[in-house]
Amino acid sequence: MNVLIAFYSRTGYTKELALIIAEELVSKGHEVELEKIEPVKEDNMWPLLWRTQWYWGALALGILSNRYREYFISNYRIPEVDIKPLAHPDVSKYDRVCIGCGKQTIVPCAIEAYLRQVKGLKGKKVGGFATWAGPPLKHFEVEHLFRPIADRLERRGASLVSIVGLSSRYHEYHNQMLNIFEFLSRVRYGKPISYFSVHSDYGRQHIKLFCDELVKGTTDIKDSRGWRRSFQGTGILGVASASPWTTLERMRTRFEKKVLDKA
Amino acid sequence: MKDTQTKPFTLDDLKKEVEDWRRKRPETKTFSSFFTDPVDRAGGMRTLAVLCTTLISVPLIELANLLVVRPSLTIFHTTIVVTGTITLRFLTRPLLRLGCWAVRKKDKGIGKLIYDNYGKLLHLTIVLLGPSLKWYFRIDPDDIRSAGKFQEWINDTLGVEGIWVESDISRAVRHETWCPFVGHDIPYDPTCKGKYDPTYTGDKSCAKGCPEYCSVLMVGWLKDFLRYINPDFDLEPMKYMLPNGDDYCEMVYIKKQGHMEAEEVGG
Ligand SMILES: Cc1cc2nc3c(=O)[nH]c(=O)nc-3n(C[C@H](O)[C@H](O)[C@H](O)COP(=O)(O)O)c2cc1C
Repeated sequence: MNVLIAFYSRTGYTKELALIIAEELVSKGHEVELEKIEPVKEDNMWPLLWRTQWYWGALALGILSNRYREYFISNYRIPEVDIKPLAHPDVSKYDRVCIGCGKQTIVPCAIEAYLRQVKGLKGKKVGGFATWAGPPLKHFEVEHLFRPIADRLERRGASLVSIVGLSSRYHEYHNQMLNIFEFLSRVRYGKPISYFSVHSDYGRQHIKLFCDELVKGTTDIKDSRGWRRSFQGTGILGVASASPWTTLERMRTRFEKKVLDKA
Repeated sequence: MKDTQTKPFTLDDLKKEVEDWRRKRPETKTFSSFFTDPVDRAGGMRTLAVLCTTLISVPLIELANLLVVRPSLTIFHTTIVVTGTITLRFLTRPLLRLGCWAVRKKDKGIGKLIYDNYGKLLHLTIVLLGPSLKWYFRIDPDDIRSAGKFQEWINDTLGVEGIWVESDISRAVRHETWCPFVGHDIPYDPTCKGKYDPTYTGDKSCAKGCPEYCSVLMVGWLKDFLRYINPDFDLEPMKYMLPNGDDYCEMVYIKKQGHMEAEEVGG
């Protein structure tokens, strides 16, 4: 199978993941070509953070209301940037296309520009891979990054058939951010972030699964176990995957079932 | 997009880059590394100083701007543009339906009346919104690409996706690669059968009947805005359009040369 791996990496962590995926595919006998997406001008970390300021308030609101969060995830706009000319502007000759990036609060602008420019996506089965700092939280990481990508692909007649998101354990904005993610990871999954990193067992397993599902191409990520696969885990139910209201509801029904019914 | 083929990036290149990177990979900084890093690195003392100064001065400057310099202007323009955005979002579908209907019935009766006045209505919005948009988007009357921010704003508000394939000071080209009105999300043509009738098996692309809406009315609107910014700015007639089956709608912004110079020489 002929696969194109297109990736945008700012600090190199996603590039490493792209290499691991490429090697996995090559070892299975597939042919891999690469597309390195680069913005014409790479911003410094602070202007970059400034550009995403509009989303923080919305993210906070999303914790309170599921409906708002869903609206926000499927409607947020990504600012435009210019990217360097592509080596493979037409992807129609590939059987599969993979698109990879690091999470930058939102989908990186360079990826948005790539999806707008690239031709021949119609009917293509696409895989999405990413690195982020935190654990694979369902809404904040997985859906927040892959849903807009899935929507955009769908508009161009392509479908997202496989995803993988792993932790790079690196955050440009200092350790404090990582500490917050570490805390969330322990609360939600009962595991440290290193459990979800690129080089962990979890990472290796999921990269393999990603490649298998990509080649198979039968999963529809948008409405299936595809989402779920990335965030299964133990830990306190509901935290970081539902609004406080839903969590309270669930706690109430559990309480009724387990305590009141027995009494 | 220009068709310049760049050199392919091979697996070996990637291996080499990753190997190099593994040797000097960036590590997450702690708070104390602010003080220990060399000053020219992001995160060094200089960044801290700049960050602190910015953090302190930005609110002060904003406050001064808000309270002293142009209090009424700031509030006025922002309110107008935000209200414009919200109005545009709500009115898009009815306006679009009305426009398409008028395009099809433009020969006589009420359709003709609407078709003839639709452009004037859009022109009126430029008269009302023009100054605010120009201020709000910091549009430079000499740079045609900066005038294109108006189209970016419309696109963003309506959910159309596009890219700039040329961004020069006197010529800019924009390709709109996806449009919700070309039969994808919202029926562009109210009579579109495919959208409402599940048994309909014909062409479901509803916009096919109505490209004139964009090529005449929308382009007219953009032209109005461009002329308001600078009389030398213009749009070329649209050659490629999504509703005609092309891959994108192409908008070519041009600046007519020589007009100003001639005037200046004459004066
Ligand atoms: C502007 C910006 C925003 C980020 N937002 C998040 C975030 O919301 N969640 C997260 O887990 N990591 C976030 N990160 C961390 C990166 O996703 C992480 O470092 C990733 O591995 C970077 O990969 P890359 O540099 O190869 O693109 C952010 C990084 C930047 C620069």
